[in-house]
Amino acid sequence: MAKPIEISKVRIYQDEPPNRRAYIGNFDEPFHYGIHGGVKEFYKAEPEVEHPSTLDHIVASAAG
Amino acid sequence: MTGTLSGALEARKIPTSPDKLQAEAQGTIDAPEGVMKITHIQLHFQLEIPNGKRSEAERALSVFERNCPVAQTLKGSVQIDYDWEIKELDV
Repeated sequence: MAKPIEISKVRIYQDEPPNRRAYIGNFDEPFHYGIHGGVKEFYKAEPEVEHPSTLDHIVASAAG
Repeated sequence: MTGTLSGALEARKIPTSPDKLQAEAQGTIDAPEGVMKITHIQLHFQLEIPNGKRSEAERALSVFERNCPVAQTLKGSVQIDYDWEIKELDV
C-alpha cells in the first residue's frame, strides 16, 4: 500500500458536556467544540459556555 | 463523534467528564484522483467508566454513530472506523 500524503493526528478531550477540546498535530492551542443557536435549541440544552459546533467547523473548513 | 458518544453515555448515567472520555483520531489524506482529500478517519476512544457499567457503555458505543451529525454528514464520502478501550473503575 502506498504511503499517504499526510496523516492528520488529533486528540479530543471531553470537557463538561457538551464541550470538547481538540488538539491538532503539534499545535498548542486547542479548538473548542460545543453548541449554540439552532443546534442548542435542537438538543434543548443550555450550556454554561457556548462554542461553535463540529458542523460549524465542517462548514468553515469547506469555506476556508 | 466524541460529543455524541458523551451524550449516549451520559444518558445511561455514565459520566464523561472530567477526564473520563477522550479520543485519538488519525485522518488519512491522499490524492487517489490527483486532488487531495480525506479518505479515511480512524478513531480510538478511551473511556473510564464505573464498575458494572461495561455492557451499557458497549451498547452506547454500538449505536451512537447513527445519531452523530458529523458522521452522518460524512457518510458515503469518508470511511470512518473506530475502536475503543474501556477501563472500569471503582467509584
